[in-house]
Amino acid sequence: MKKIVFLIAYALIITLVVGIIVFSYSPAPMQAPTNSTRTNSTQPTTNISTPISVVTVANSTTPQYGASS
Amino acid sequence: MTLTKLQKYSPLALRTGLALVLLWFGFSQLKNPAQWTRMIPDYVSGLASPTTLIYANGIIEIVLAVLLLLGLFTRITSALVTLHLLHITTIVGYGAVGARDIALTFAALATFLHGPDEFCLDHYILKKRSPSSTNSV
Repeated sequence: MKKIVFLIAYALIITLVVGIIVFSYSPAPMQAPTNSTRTNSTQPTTNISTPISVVTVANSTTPQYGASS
Repeated sequence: MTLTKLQKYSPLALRTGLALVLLWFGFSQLKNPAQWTRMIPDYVSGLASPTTLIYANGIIEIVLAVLLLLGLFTRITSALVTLHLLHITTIVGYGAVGARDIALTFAALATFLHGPDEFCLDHYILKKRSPSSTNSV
């Protein structure tokens, strides 16, 4: 009988202590398992400053109109 | 002094540790259910409101924890805790939290496999009925 009372008191005390701790102190919020909570992330800006390249064909083999052979 | 004498406290420590985890999560869900609603799987979200489901889950976890602490219906309780934690592990998925949940699941499984120890109420209740049936619950 004494051991049964001890077991009931043991369970009751542990339950009360954990309850008081949880309700007294706010635990850190649990992190989401899959989704990242990063909300203020800034997208990297790509500064496109490369000028449009102009390909000049110096020795073009295209026949020129009016050229004398 | 030999440490062999301490072996009898091992199932009690395991049950107490599991119960502490369940109590913490249960009370946390009762305190702030909105924080836990995102953990609800889609297939049960139509049964009731998310807050109601979290309250129900929290109460169930506290009841299971108290039963574990008392050592009452130890086998049935630890089987339910094992299935519950296994389900949570599948929800949480692969990661640091999931790895810890797997360990908790196996801890609950160990309690189920061991059955009632000498610090369980089952031990004293069933001892009065028949001395040889303490490992059946």
